Amino acid sequence: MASRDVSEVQLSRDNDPTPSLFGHYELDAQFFDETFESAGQPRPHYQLLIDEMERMSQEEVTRLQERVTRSFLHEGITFTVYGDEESIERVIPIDCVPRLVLAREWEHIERGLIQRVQALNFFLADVYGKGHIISDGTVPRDLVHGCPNYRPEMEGVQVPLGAYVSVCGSDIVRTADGFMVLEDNLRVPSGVSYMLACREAIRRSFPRVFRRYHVRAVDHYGQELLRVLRSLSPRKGEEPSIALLTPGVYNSAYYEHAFLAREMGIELVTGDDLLVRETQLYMRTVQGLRPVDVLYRRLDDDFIDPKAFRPDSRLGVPGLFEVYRAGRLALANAPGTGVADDKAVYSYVPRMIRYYLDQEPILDNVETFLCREPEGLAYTLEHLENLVVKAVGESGGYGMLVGPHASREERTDFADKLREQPENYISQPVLDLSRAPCLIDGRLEARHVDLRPFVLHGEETRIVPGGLCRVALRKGSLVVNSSQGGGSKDAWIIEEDVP
Amino acid sequence: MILARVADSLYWMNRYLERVEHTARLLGLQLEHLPSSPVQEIANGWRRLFSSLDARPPGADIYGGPEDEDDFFFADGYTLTDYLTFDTTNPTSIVFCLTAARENARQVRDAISNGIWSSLNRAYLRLRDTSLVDIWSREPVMLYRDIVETVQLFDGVCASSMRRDAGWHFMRIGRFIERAQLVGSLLEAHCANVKDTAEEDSDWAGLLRACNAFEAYCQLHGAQIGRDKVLGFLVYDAELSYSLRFAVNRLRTSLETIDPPVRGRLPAEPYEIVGRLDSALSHHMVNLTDGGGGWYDLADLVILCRNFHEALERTYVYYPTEAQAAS
Repeated sequence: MASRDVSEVQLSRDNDPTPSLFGHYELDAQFFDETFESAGQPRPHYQLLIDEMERMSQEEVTRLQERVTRSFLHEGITFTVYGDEESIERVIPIDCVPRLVLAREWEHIERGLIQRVQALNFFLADVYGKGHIISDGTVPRDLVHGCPNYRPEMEGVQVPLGAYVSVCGSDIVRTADGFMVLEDNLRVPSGVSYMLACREAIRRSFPRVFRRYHVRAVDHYGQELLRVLRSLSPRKGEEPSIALLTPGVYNSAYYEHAFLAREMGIELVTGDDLLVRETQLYMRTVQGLRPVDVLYRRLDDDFIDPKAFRPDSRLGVPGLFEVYRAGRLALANAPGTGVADDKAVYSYVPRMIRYYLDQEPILDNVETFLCREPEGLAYTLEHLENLVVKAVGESGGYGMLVGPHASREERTDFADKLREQPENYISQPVLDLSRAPCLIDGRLEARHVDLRPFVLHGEETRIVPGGLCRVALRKGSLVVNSSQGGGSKDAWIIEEDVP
Repeated sequence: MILARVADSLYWMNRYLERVEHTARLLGLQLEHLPSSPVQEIANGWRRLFSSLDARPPGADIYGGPEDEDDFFFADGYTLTDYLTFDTTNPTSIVFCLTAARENARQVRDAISNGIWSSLNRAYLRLRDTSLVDIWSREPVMLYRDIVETVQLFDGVCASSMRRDAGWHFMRIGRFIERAQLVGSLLEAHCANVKDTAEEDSDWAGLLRACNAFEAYCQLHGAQIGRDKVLGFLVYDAELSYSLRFAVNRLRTSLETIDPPVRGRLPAEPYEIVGRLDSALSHHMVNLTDGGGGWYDLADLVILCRNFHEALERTYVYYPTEAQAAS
């Protein structure tokens, strides 16, 4: 069967007058290209993949891409777009060309992220505890206590293992200067199921090269996460009862919640399945109530408990926070972690690393100007056409201005907003995100990419080798969020000496 | 142990699928006979079909009363077929039931295997992308055969991939309570039809086919097809998977696994209702002849099925929680 395929490939290629897949691939000196050193000169570790793809006809690659998309549709890996009359399920766009990351590059990222997540956990334990880092002036008090995601309710709460952040998804970008952390997602980071689903689909598509590259496995993510969740359980010496709390089928990440619950073999619960009686959390089973010890909640702080947080939430469980405070329930992640992934607090992370670990940061931050500081505001207003301005409390690519891509009017409007509420904004230089080839209308074109690895923190800190590689599919766009026309790619961590 | 909500979704998923299969089989048979049957018989077929699904033909409200004979005489097959297959606003249509089954599956995506989900999802996507215009002029019957096979394939994937845990048994209960109710209603509708037509006109072989029981019947009784034997077969035969007795037996087995009866304690309400159904069927206490004389009419059995459903939800899904935490 295999040999027939190959001969067909060659036949169709002999008769095919169109140039190869990479024939239209354009390099731009401004951006680091993941695949090519210079025109026609691939980076050595990409050679094998390029050879494999060049053996295919354009039609075959397009078919392969369609197969991958169809398999996503059948498995229900979709997100829902709500229209006026009916909701439409869309497949998450997935690009079939994998991104390759060398083991040595990966190990650098890995060490950097582990260091970072440890420092962030120390920071959270500190600001909800004694507050040393504030009292000695390293981080301004009002920055922390004025942050909308700071939860005074968490002050003095004993958090199991000091693991405030058990699951972290940090966004890593690469420029000509190397790898940097663009932001940390410490509340309910999502995307890990797409990483795993991409891997499944792409491994099937390139079985031969996948084997030859010795790609590091990511499939054990569910087991690793389960290990962390078990380690948090307040019920020592007994098998803990663990559940994943989802907002429900209408949440855009519902596929991921169901996927992870199945991978780990834990119950997927909604707020309606849970209730609190006498400082214990229970779930309703067909045989009556059963206690729950650990909750991996994929619901924002605001919604987990209408008694403690937003009173109008119907998604959470009244009284849940009280059970948590009493130490009879573990939550992953802990409430209040949002204070550490605030876009302004972000700029202090290198200082946190020095403060708590007495180490130099391994991964750089992106240079950040705080508009709450007069110098920062002045600089931002002056250089608006070269900066990305982000609202501090927003995520998902909402409420931001990409200076060079904005019109003069848009910039003027935004400047007014900045002067009105400077503390709401930060700015960063426009990053020359690296680019990688993506299949667009049957041929390969360069698109900007980033990488979100998922860090797990319990008794130790670990990362499965890989991440969700997000792609800005719109030409020239730097925004990779799926809500803004982004897609995803498989990321392969490969050994140095490619055969 | 299984979440109450999950059990409920698995139960409903299978109720809807049973309905999909049943409606598809009936519609397929009806369409198969359209070209060769006399008008009266076709109208009878539609009437039986609609009344067994507890549905009304589209437009019935506009043109006349619920018992208006002309509805089925003048309605054309295309409209009725479209209504029962593709009308997303008709809660008895195949597409409505399949969508509902898939929606229930989506809510318990973690509790069912990938294979189970994707066999259902693919069927849904296929039907969603089909319309009656596309298939009417060719062989519409094939669509219904396809749907029946899809549901049977789904059953096969479940049977080969699921542990026989509580989730499995709630699925079985959903399947067989819906089957009992549908077959009960179909028999009731057929018998009502018989009253108005000459005995020889009523289509007992068609009734057997509608219950997937024609071949099984012929193996057992030969080709002698008569009212008493057919009804007796579809109601009392313990080994026929579309008989009422078979369905009720399965309900009892599954309930016993989920909630084993304990000596000295009153049985749970659903179990008690199944017990009544079971004794009616195993002691042949159902009134199947015109003369009467049985303890139960077919309609009584259908009502017991409804009561069973309510009792099941009360006992395992929406039970009160106040007193339970302490125990």
